[in-house]
Amino acid sequence: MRSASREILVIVALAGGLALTFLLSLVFGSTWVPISRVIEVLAGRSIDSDGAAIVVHTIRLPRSITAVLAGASLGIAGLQMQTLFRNPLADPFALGISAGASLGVALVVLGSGFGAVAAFGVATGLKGDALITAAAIAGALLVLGLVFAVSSRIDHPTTVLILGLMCGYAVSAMVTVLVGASQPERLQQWAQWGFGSFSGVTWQRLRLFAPLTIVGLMLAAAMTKQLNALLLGQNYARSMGVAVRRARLLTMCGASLLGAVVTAFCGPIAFLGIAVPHVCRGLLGSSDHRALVPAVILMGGVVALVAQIVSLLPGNAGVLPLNAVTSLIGAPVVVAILVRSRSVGSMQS
Amino acid sequence: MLSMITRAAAGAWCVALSIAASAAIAPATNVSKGCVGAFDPSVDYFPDKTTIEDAAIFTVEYRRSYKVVRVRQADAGEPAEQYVLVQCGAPSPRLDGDLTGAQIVTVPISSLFSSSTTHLPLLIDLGRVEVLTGVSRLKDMMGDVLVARAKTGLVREFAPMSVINDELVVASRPSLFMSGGGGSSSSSLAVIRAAGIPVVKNIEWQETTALARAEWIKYMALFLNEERSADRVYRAMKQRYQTLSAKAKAEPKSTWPLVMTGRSSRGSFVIAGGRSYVAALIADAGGTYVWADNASTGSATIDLEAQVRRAANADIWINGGMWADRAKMIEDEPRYSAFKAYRTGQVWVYDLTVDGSNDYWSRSVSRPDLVLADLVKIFHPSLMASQKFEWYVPVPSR
Repeated sequence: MRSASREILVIVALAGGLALTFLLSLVFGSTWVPISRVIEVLAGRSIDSDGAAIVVHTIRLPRSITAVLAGASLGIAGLQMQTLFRNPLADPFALGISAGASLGVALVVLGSGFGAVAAFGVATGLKGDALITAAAIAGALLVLGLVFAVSSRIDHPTTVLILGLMCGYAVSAMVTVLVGASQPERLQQWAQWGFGSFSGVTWQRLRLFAPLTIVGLMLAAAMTKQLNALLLGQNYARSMGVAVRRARLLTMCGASLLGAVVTAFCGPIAFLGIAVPHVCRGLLGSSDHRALVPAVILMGGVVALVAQIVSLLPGNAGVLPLNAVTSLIGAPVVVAILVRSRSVGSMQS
Repeated sequence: MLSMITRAAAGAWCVALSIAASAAIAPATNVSKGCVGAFDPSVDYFPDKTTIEDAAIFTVEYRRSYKVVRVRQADAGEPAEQYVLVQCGAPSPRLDGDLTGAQIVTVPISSLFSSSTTHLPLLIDLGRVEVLTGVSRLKDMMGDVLVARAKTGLVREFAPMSVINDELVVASRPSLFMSGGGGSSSSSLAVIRAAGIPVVKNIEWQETTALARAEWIKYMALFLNEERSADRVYRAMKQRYQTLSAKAKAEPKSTWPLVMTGRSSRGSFVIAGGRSYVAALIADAGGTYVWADNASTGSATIDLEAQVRRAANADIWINGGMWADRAKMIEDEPRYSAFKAYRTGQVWVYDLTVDGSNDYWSRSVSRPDLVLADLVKIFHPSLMASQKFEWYVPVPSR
């Protein structure tokens, strides 16, 4: 019972932390907006005179919502992958998803001279940033399709994991070739995508981003029993009456959907997916997915928001690459928690 | 008495002349092709000397048979580089002090491998395209003169996929390899240098004013002994630049437009830094830059929110992305509508193409007077009513 009350305490604390960081992320930006103005804008009764309303309503609010959803999604996808492969180093991109998405983006940004890319743009009726997002999803799906097609004939999860890794390397090689052949002027746009950012998701794009991620998160929430069983090994899961193959496929699909969607809209965001589950296991002192899933969702949102706030710290309106922030502030935290709780061992028990 | 002195002077002059004739004849101008014959240590082989007026990163000192060129590394931590340019036919000088181990280049060079397209217009302006024998990519050679040069088949391509083919460079044995100073290729450059091919940096892009960048034509000229041509080209260009700038700056401050730069990429604005050459160009064209107080000398990444607060009321927006029209802009980033310059159609890009190609990137470095003319025409149209745009076009509404 003590463990259950600790779980409740942790989840309540995380929920409070999420609410607080969400508000902070709306108040702190690269320019100063008084809290009273922020509240006015949120309440929908602000007359704009100095751009403050534009800033809060069209920049900060969608950015913060995106950060919460993206952080939660990456955390959950990482948790699913770690459980599925029973490997503490697995992350949402273990199956080559981000490499596939990168290839799609590289083809659009760096290889727009190719006929196939132009045809893709015409066929989907998309242009500009929307085309980049669509290409990222297409690239991720392509790689996933490949991995799934082969993995359906393989029973051993580790083999699937290695397969995904190899696929990722192969696709990354193609991206490198594209980068080598491209004009220097286009490389900046490509580099910018690689930095990762929550700021590019506008209200319009949230209309697609939010439902996709929420579906993925709900899928994870509905599968806590199967995840718990998988954690104990396939044979045990089978003996518990879990349809292992179906559970594996659904988990892989869900995690991949989350990873692919976030990468498509926000760029390849490192670290969050691998770290948040470990932190939550450490805090909860357990690997029970009924507590882990909500904790990871909340913690993922908190970490993403904090990284977003920190990325604006350099002052004078500069922005740190989000990817650098997530890894730099996150790595020491995870190391500290791991050393204290030895939770890596506990996830495999 | 006077006649005696004159006679003595004339005699001395005759003696001097005969010595010169017997040993070596002092050239009247720099030798821009080939070598000198019999070397005479007392002869000044570089009668045409250039002086640097605007560029801050390189310097030159003349000795009688060699020049000492120093390129200061603007990047912190990198030491300055010294090059000793020795007249062909003259012996290499003994190098000591800070010149120990300096890169020796025999000048005038007869063949050149260049890793940046910004070097190529310098050769055109100096009338010396025929020395160009290697470029990173042949398809980047644009404009009539360079296309014609590429068609001769005498220009090798040494880095079509960004990676320098060092074997090809070494086997071609150019008299000089001029690098753009990018960091990633430094290991290849070390290999090329170790193989006995002189490697020098041309980092004009680190200069912080447009004139300083353009003055690197003199740097190129040092290796060709073309100082006289370079001085003439640069002086005329600078004259045009300064005359035009003075005219624009004479406009009353109240008519100076507020100017913003850059494009948004996923919520971050990449803008020209407040101390960059673009910021200097804006001021020289009679414009007020919204980020004039920014400390960056290159480009800077600014949060979209800060740009909205700073530039929402900017009159003119220059140097954005490769936008086909304003509808495409708004598809890229719906929040562009927060900017007045977008709503009033005052978004200008250097995308004007002639015969399907645009040489802004390669040619604007050596022709800041043309960039300035375009900007003045945008900022103060009445001053330049009859002038045509060289590169700038407004982004069309459809």
